[in-house]
Amino acid sequence: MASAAEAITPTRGELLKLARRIELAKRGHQLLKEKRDALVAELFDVLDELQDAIEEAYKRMDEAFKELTAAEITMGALEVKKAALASGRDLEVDLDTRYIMGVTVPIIETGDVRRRVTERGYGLIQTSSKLDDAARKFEAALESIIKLAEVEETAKSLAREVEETKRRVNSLENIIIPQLESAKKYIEFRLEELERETFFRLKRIKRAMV
Amino acid sequence: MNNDELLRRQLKILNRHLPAERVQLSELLKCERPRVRTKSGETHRFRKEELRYLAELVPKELHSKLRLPILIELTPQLGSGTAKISGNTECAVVGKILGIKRESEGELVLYRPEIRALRKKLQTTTQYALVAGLSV
Repeated sequence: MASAAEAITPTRGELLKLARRIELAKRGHQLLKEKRDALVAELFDVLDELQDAIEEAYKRMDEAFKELTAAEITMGALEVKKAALASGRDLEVDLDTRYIMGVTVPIIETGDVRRRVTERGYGLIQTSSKLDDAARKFEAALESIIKLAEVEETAKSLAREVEETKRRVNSLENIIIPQLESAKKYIEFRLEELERETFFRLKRIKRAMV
Repeated sequence: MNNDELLRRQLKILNRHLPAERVQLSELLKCERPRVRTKSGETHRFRKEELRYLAELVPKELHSKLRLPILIELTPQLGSGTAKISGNTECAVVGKILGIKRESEGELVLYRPEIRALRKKLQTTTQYALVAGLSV
């Protein structure tokens, strides 16, 4: 730090420039701190949401697989597979972006994931009501998984930005601002020293003249 | 590039996510894909359910006066974690959501827990803005 300060020319102009740089760095530090705090608060909320989304997705998947097993017991695995092949679908997913404090995060909107029994594509006479229950539960699970994908990606993006902002705040707080302040102190010290030297020189000249 | 230039660049892009122009609620309600263009040229999408929630909350005659997203202005001068909402309709809406009544002259000051509560309810229809009197 001292060597950086010593490389600076100790002039009043340089001192003014440094004062401006310190002002800019301090304001930048304040703003980035605000950004970091807001991002951390957002991240905590998103993590809560993520926890709920994970639990919900696991619960629904568990329920769906239980219903699937019940359907397989009732109808036989082959019949269930045949019905599943008949019930293919195209789900429209609208993927867009939104911003949280400058961080781009995904926003996923889908059409109606849940279908009526008649819209599923398999015959109602050959299949059991257990299959309808399983299909209904899997559709609900799919909804949760889509929600989970959105929240998980949001949490990842926010965490990355928090890390980056934290690094910037720390570098300003622990390196840049102290370096600038140390340089400022050095110039002030050198200027005072020069003033004292001049004063002493003038005194000597005055004495010599008398 | 030295530290100062880097910092200046950082501060310049802090608010790039803000919309170039805020859009009326009445307009957004008509859109199939409600969104605004940001200063950086990207898009910010609104959730339809949030728009519907606001539409129910705000009297119909004010739908054209409420411009979205509502800006949560973080101003270090107000103190850390404190923000400000500007605009009469915006203040009324936020006050109604949070159950507070302390706006004055079209401004409402919010504290950290209130900001979090507001953000939880309006994730896409509010945006943070960092305000500073910086000549960068």
